[in-house]
Amino acid sequence: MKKLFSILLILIPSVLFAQTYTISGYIKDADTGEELIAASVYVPGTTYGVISNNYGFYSLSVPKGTHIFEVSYLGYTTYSEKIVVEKDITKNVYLETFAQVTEKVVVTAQARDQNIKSTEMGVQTLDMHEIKSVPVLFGENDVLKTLQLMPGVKSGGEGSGGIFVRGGGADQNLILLDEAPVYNASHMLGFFSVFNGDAIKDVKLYKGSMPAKYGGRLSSVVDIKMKEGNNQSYEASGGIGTISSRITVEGPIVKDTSSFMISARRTYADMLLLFSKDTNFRDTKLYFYDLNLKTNYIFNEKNRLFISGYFGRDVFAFQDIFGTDWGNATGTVRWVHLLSPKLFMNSTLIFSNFENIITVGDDSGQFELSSGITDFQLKEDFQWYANNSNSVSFGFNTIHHTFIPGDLKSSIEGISVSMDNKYALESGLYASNEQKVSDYITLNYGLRFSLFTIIGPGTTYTYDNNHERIDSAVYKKREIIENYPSLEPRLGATFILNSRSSIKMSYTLNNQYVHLIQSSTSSLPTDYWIPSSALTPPQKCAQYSVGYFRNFAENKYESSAEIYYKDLESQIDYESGTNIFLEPDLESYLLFGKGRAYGLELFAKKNQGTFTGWISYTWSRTEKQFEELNKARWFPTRYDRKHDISIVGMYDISKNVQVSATWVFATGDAVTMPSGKYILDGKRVNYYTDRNGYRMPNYHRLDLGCTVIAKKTDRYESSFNFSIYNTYNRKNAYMIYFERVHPDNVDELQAVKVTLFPILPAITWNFRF
Amino acid sequence: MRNYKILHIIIITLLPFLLSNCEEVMEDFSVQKSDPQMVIEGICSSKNDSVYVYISKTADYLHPIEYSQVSGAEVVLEFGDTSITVPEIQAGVYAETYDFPEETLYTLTVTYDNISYTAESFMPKPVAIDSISSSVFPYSVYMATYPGELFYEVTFYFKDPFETQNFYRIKTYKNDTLFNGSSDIVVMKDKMFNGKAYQLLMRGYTFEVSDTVMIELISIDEANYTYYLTLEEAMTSTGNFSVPDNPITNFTPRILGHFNAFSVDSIQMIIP
Repeated sequence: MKKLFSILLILIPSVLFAQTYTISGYIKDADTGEELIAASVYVPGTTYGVISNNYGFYSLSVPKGTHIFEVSYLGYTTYSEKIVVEKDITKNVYLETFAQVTEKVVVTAQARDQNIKSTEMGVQTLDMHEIKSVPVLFGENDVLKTLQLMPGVKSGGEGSGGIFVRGGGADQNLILLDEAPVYNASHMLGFFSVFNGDAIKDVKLYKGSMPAKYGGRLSSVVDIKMKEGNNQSYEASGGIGTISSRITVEGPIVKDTSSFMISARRTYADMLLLFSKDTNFRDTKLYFYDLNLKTNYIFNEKNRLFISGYFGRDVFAFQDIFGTDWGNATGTVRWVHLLSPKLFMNSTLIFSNFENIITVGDDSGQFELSSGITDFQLKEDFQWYANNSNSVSFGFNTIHHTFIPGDLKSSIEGISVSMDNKYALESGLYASNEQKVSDYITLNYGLRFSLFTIIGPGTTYTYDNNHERIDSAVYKKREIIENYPSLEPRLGATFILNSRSSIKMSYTLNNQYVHLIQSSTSSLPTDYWIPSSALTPPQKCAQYSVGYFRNFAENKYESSAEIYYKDLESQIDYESGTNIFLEPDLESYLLFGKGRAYGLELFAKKNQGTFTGWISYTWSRTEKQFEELNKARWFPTRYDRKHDISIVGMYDISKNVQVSATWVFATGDAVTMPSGKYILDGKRVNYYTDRNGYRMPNYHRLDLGCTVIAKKTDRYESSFNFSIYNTYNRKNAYMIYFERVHPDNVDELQAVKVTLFPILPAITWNFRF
Repeated sequence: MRNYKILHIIIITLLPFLLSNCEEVMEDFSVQKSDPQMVIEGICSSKNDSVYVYISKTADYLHPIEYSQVSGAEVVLEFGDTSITVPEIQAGVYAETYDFPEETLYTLTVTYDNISYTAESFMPKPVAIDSISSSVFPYSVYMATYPGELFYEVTFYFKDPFETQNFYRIKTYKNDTLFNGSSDIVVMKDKMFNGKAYQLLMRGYTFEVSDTVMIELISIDEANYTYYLTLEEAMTSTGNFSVPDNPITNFTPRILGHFNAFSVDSIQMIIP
């Protein structure tokens, strides 16, 4: 790897400026002390400009002299100061929101042309304000559901919080909460995501061209940051909604130095069941809860410590017969250290756990099934602001995975099954550089070396064609069973045509070493994760994309068009009839095939003014091919939706009233339905032809929302949020089944569609004091 | 504990929570038309000393007019040095009686339209059922529906042979009527109880006092175990949450249907 760094160093042109100095520091919200991510720091009229990193830190190198120094951030007033630079300067900037400046005069800050100039493409960022304004099911603001409204991101179906990015699978998203991977980001069969909007500060989605510091998943990275907590004053906020209540408390522990944030949410869907006429349902438990905690301590300008955690559970019980208890827990300890004004270091220890326990039982026997995954991770990231033309990132991480594929305990003797736990190390070493070659060309090149090591204790098997074990090898604790090394180049280039438009290109190669085994297309508690092995090769994806970015009216409107092509290898499916549940020889049943996904994404957004919103359109195809399936022909995946449209609008009628609307349209899912039938064994048996050869009816829906601020003072704010889901009561098909036309005739059938959510109003009361 | 059953329970439980999910007949829904495909079902049993081969064609899914029978096929059953040409006894039904030996590999060849379809099936020795017993069905759900009445379910006992890998299909009869729905395809393999005495509670089958219950323990080969497993999936999967496929046949070239040579042991009881 030494060689690699030497190459990178050679690529970085030596600093030729006679004398440059660095201005560095943090950009913060004046009111809460929260760091602002991706704020623009620049010298107007020059090419000197940078963007604050994930911790609000910036480092700007300028020649000796007097400069106008400006900092801008959407929704905040621009900070401007004349600075005499004759040495390195540390400068923390506190930005004020518009509202703090004045409530009457609308100050229009100059929007920056970040989307034009940055090397990032295939990236979507969400403003928490947007997430809170978009109307959603039951009025539950949802980070992932708002992401579904972006181009290239598809939902998992009616009400689902699952995201499918550019044809990728549900398990191909690296969802990070304060850098800790969240293995199952959904609650209640996927209807809600685990991210409580009150606790979230920032959301960023990489749809493919992810930086070299991320790895391990093929299709996307969802980087979610929790709020740090107000370090200026105490604050409580929360809400009471149709199906859940939330409360968040934050404040300084030591003013300016240390703060905390605690946020909790619990749903009470099961309360509705108390009114059920059927007594069976009254004993049913059905709720979930989330708990987010974060605290940080500023030792000095150069050292900060962050500790954050998440804990969430889904509790579901049907009498004593069936119960589940599943959820995620994450923990992050991070030390941010400034080695010099140009070198930023970030050391992180991460814990992540997903587990699920299902209990089934009656008088004759009890079963308890548990499965899960536990990770411990160490991560070192460095960011080196070499000069104004080069910004270098490098670092490494290593994850220790423990996989619990399934453990069945039973009160009945002889039924217990225990599948061996599996252990693995997943490591990555990376370096990348963002280089301004000229005023018009910026390159971003990086390389990630990933290594997946399967370690003992464990037993590996080889199988014959009938899934019978023919050979085995036993490994001791910490013994290396197998290594999978891989080099993953990440390349990007931005060609700035003029101040309003640019063209970007990127190429990304990714490997995925952990795989979700799903018993069905919906998110079920029976899903579990397995590692790569001699029988389960790593999934691979190469993605090529090109985009054109254009801003209008002084960056008030931004638009983009991107096309992508993805080439996927070692995609997993399994033979028909495989019971993936508690199958110790599951790996012998897995099938591996190819995939391809391509599409066009159009996006136009209005960022400022009383009316804001966006339109996104995606045309895409996603197909797979397996030797053993569908006569080896390519077939569409379930979420191969050719057309996908989202229109989102938000309008401030007055200072206290805001209305919003969302309309979505999507081609129906590709599903497999019978095309004939025959009699065998005295039964009617379905005859299937093309895999996923049918289309569900097209999906469309309009949601409306309205937020009314009932009372607002400096110390107290109370508002109501009204929303209507599926306003024109479109009967979208959730599933289709067949039933007899006449009860006595087994042959004549008709199709029946089941609609999940009719028009559903919801109301939430929110407060803050 | 099949996955779809769990899904079913979850959905059923969620339904009231989902308040007013609604169902609607889709008048305009049409399924793809496919050309009728040939289906071969061959069964050869030492219990009845007979072989039956049914050859038919697929029909329209929603509105089948008829399941047409295939006449004029050449059907040959071979085992050891013996070769039997099976005659067509009525349209699409080919049958013959013979004292078929157990622990024998059978080869069925069906020739139609100049294409020959061949399948092999091994007929194992039957595994004896030792005994059967009944117990009161514990679910209170039924008690609420039929107050005062008791429902029974049965358990049968057998010893799995140690030397062989065994695959079973279980059929249940109530007063001489076979439970024959899609969920009544019960198959298992001895992987988890090889060589052990095993008891199986026929969960979900309820009987009342003085009902006659018959259990058949059918010994089949692995290919047919896979066939029934995939047949069950093809019949119960709705295509909404999973991707169903045709059952995995033992015929080459691939065709719909299967050939099964099996042996049977059965036991009967009257609920006291």
